[in-house]
Amino acid sequence: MNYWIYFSHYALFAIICWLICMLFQVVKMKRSKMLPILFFAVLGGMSMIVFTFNLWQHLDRPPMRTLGETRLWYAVFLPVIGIITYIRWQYKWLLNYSLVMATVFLAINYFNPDTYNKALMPALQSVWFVPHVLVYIFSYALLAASSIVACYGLFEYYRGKYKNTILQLANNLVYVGFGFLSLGLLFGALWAKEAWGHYWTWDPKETWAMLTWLGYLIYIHMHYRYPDSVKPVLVTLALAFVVLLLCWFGVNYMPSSAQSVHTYTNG
Amino acid sequence: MRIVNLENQIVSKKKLWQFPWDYKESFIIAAGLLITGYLLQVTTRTSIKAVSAPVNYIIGALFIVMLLLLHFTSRTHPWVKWLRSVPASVSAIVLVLIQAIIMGTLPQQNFVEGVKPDLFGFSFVLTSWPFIIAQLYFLTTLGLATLNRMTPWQWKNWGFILNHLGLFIAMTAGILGSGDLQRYTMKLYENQLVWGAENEEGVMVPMPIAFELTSFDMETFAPKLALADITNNSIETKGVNALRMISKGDHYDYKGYKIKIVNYIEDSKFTGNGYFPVNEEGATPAALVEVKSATIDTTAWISCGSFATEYSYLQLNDKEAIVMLQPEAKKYSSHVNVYVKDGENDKTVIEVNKPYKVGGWKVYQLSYDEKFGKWSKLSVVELVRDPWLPVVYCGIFMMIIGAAYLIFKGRGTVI
Repeated sequence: MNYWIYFSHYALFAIICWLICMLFQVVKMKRSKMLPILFFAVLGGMSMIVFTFNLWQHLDRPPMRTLGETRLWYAVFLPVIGIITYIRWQYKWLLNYSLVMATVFLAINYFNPDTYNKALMPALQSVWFVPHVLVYIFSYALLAASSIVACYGLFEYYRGKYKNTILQLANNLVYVGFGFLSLGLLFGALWAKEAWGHYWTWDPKETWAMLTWLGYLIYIHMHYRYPDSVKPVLVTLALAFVVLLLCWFGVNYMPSSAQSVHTYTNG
Repeated sequence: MRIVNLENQIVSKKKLWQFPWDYKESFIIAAGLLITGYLLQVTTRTSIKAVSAPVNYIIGALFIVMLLLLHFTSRTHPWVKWLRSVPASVSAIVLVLIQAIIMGTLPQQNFVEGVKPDLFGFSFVLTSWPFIIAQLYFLTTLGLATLNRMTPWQWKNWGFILNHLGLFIAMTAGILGSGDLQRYTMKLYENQLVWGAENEEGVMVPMPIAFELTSFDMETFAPKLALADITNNSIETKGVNALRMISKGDHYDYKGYKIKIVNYIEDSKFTGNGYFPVNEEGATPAALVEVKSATIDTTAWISCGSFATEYSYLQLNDKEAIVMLQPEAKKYSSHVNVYVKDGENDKTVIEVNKPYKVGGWKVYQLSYDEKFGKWSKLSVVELVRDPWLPVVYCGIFMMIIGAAYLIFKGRGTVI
């Protein structure tokens, strides 16, 4: 059964919850607003988690192959990151950013539905498939969040209202995101050895994954060397995100992509 | 960088090439290395072949000894202090980044002797001078920075050391070990004993291990129905039901057509007026499809065909037709007898993602004859020998723990 037919129900419910969450942020209340804000954010998140779980059951394979399926995982992970950072540091804008981005991904899926495809090629039938993809998606979500923080930081810097806490938040997100990025890269290498015979073949997707890794590596080292520097470091963070996007989407359009085993298709 | 005196007043701006060197000097040196690399490449017009045992062991040992000497004898020398510094390492990372960008954007191909290669090595970056020099610079800065943090030993640096030393070990072993990597393919035909394997250049190499394919097994998914444009031979891929997997009794709507699968035979053959179930080689899936719309109401057999049986499609109008696509592979494997020269014989199944280990070799199921699909009499396996792999795995394992350290410590890491 194509469980995607229920997608719009779950997605609409999640989006409504998140709208209510944002509504609570502007409404004036005597009591602490944190509880209702969190409640509706979490409720929306749960809706998408339940949908993804059910989809996995009905699809007979992990829903991690097509672009539509990966967009679904972002709609799951981004709210989780937004909620956790909100609980930890009370940054409302990061929570809102993650909910809006999740909504964008849900909308894209609604207007551009996946073709229903149960097939999973033999090379993807491995214990490494799920950890490799999940870890990468989670790291991308974290690094995307850190880059938004960087842009926000640059914006505040030019307005003269820069606070050091902004860079601290970006840093925290980058360290955790980079850890997951490294794991994704290493899991991919270990899987490649079991499936293809070699752990690194400079396939264009692999090369761009390494480039993303190097980009954030440069940021981490630059920030370590000059911890008080703001502008160059934030710019590096924004640039590193561009490399990430190139790796995620751009590889399909590059001249080298004809030789890649990673070129994802819609079918 | 500004020189600041004890009262925190800015005294003077540091002059270029005045110690300690910072980002400006690092990038100038890195640029110099880049230019040197390209000059070397342009003048030699060749690719660098990987060195194998024992030369790679010697080079590895010499490199490590050089790093140890530099660190322990000249630890306070300004050049050594700069080489292990962050600006030097950042410039080295950027140098590798530049090479990787070229490799990741432009099509790469193996260097072919005799054919005039492109001037700067852009199509074979991996074996070009600029890349080798970038890697050497990277490993030098990495090695010295790691050594510096390891001596004197402090347990609080465990995360740093795991990440940096792990990367050093994995990269060095990967680069040096590539010369000892052997990858051969063997074409196995049913009931043939094969002792010879083929390398990348197509040269036959006798192996101490022989394989006899007793049978090639393949499970497929049910084939998919698609709407094709017969004027330009393309398949429509947009929409939820664009590529629907066939199952008997299924019915769905697509692009204004009501489609119903009246009957489905997994293994069939075309004889005169229809498809009938058979148990023969070359049998192909076939489906009896009913299509209704405002303008059409028809039922017909369609099939993707095989090497033994014709394909059929259902033409809807001048432009569109309903076709059946070839079924996709679900699982395929080779049942083989293994004969080892001066060793024990064995019998096993080699499957994708489940390679078989024998005598220092790992055997992978690579491919089969796609024209014959599940009736393929040919199975292609790949034999890989990678003696440096345990060292690379050591580095990878260290980095995995290092990555977990980064995740749990977040910003509180000791860097």
